[in-house]
Amino acid sequence: MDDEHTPGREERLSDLAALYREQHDYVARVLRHLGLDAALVDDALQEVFLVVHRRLADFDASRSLRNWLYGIARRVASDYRRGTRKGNRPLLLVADHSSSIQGRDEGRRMESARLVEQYLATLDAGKRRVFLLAEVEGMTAPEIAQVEGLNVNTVYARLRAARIGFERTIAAQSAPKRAPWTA
Amino acid sequence: MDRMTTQGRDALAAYREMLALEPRRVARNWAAIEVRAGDETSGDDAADGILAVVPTPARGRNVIGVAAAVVAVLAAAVAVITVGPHLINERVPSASGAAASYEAIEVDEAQAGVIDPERPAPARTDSGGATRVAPEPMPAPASQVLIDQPAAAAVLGRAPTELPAKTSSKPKPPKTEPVVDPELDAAKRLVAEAKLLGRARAALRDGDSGAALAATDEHSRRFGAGVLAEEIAFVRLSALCLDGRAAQARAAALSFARAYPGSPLAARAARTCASDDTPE
Repeated sequence: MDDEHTPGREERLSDLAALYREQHDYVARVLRHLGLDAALVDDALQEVFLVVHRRLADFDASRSLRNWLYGIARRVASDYRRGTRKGNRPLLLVADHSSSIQGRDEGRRMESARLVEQYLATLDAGKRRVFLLAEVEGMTAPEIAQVEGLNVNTVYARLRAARIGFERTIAAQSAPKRAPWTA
Repeated sequence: MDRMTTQGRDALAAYREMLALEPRRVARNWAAIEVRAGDETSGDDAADGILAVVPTPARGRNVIGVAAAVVAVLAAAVAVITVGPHLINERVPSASGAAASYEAIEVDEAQAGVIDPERPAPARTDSGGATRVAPEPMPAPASQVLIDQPAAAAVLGRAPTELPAKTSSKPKPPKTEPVVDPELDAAKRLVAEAKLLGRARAALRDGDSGAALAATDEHSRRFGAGVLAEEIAFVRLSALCLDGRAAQARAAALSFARAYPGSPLAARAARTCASDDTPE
């Protein structure tokens, strides 16, 4: 007889579905933050949740769920970057990452998002990850230090530098365009 | 640490939205995960003939499943075009499986201008008689929920009882001792929290602030400062705003900002019920 605490297949899938519903966007973003090409995100996303499915029973509630997911995503992304999981990709549609904004007719926000994207492209990978984890995912510097295996001072230094550059970029964009004949 | 300007925060919020997966991708990924996870669990799903794997090509598995997935997706797309959203929303026959049912819901909601599908979906039964996990339509991130619902879009924050009294990165348990079921292990608690959050968001999206608040109350009661307390707090303040309790929503937003100063939801929380045209 099955022990009542031994989850069956359906129950395990149901559990996985619940987590997927809540965390799929986070995981997808993190995979991008980790430098994964957009075309590989779907595949890697699936891998992450398959790992979650296998390891859910090992989840330590004293840990942050997102940190746990980040750790898994990082390993999966690393595999993909090294090419060990690289495949010809996918059936899944791609190149629609802007649709969620476009659909709302928010051209200005789209422009802002593109500006961020352009700025991120100017950063090295380490600085970019720290910046994104702090500013997009809301992680604290100690959390980032933990998940990235960095000294917290290094995190602060990278974050500060990235913020300064970012604010300059935003300020330049936001500055009113003066007519050439004005002072 | 230097503070980010409003323009900078807005730009980052827009970037975050831009990274959100399109609902169809969310659905198709789930369809693939479901089948692949089922394979790992039982090892005999491939023989079920049930649908679809959106595969990891490198593994070269389930080629037949891939074809089935394509067929299912195409069938759903054709149905959308030829039948129209109303019929589609009443659920694609089970044979088309998860991908199709997601497709249907998502396409319908996309036409309705709603990106975030999160409606209750019962467990379904495939043509082989095996019950499949009911992937309730995938929720969009909280940002989308709020953006898609003008009434709630301005909301941020959490109920005072959910928030720690002082600034801290993690919320403290409410004064009333949360009834955390000791029998639930960590994974179970996490899943239970996620389900409650899903229920709260679904209610919010459906405009049922009472149900949303009830779900957040249940979360506080059962889990206190659970793993998903931040998300729950955000939904709660959104529900308060939607319920017309603007002052409470704004207070909850302030509490949210104190409790989760680095939260990516903080900017939206601060806008919640902030405008004069929100209900009081």
